[in-house]
Amino acid sequence: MRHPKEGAPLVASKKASVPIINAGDGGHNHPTQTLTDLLTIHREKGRFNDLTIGFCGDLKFGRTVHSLIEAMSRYKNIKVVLISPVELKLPSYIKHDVLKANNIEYIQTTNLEEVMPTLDILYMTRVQRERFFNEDDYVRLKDSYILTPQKLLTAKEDLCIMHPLPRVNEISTAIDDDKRACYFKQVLNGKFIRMALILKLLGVE
Amino acid sequence: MIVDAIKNGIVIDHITAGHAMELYSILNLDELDCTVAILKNVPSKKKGKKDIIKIDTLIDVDFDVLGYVDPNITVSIIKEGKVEKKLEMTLPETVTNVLKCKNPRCITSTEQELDHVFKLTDAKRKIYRCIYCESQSK
Repeated sequence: MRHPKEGAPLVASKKASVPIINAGDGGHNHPTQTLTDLLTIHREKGRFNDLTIGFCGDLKFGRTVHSLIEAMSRYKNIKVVLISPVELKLPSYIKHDVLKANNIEYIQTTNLEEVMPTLDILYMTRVQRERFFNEDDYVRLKDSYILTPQKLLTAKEDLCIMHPLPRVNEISTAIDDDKRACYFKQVLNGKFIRMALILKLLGVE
Repeated sequence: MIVDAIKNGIVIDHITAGHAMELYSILNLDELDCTVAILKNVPSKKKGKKDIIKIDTLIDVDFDVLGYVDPNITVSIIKEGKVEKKLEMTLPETVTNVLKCKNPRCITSTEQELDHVFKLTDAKRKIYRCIYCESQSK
């Protein structure tokens, strides 16, 4: 169930006679995307420990970001770099309940270029129109970060660029053929993960 | 000041001074027909001063609400003029329909029949979050 209201799948799961999979609820959580992201990280990096992960864009309403940060906080030696405009910073409860509670080292910055050389993974997100009640705020913030080949000059050779897609303009199409662009492989992983999840819930071996 | 002892009823004691009226309202004590005494700023050895509510009948009190509002409260159940039970409150794990979720994106903002349920996520800082959207209570 994909739903614009936060908590809708939980409500449905209390009444439904079949398993409900949360396929994204408002700006809250997106667990199937997180499974997809974990599979992608494992396939691309071969590990979950010892990674510096940059999250860039809308960290306030970005539900995929919230879920992935929570998932990665289970692993060892994870460093989190939070890159966003001030208005779209990660909610303080996630910083407190997830990052601080698990002793995860993190920094917050508005400058992507400055932290680029440190990253093993760069998780880009789009600024979503539907999360804003005010159109002016959306227009002002939507182009805050656009990833271009120029910005990747200082990046690691084995950087893994991820994005939950669809993209608007936050990743230049000139990067699509760069070997570090993993977002199309990520989409395919998403198909496999959702197939596996549905089969598991249906009890199919 | 002397307030008569009660024969059958409830005494809510050790309320933080100044908070008795808040409890009176939350527990809907205005709907009762019996005598209800609200004592404000009563001298207290432990707290300096405290509030007390005496209810002259046995009613079902929502202990979760009391624990949420003030976990230092004690409740005495009086039967035939004697204290039958003395209960100490603690912060409840969940509270239902005591707090209202203010997040406009939460499912509770449109589904009117849904209970507003909040779960204790940080006892030290007394932080409760909506079970649906995880927004912090305000």
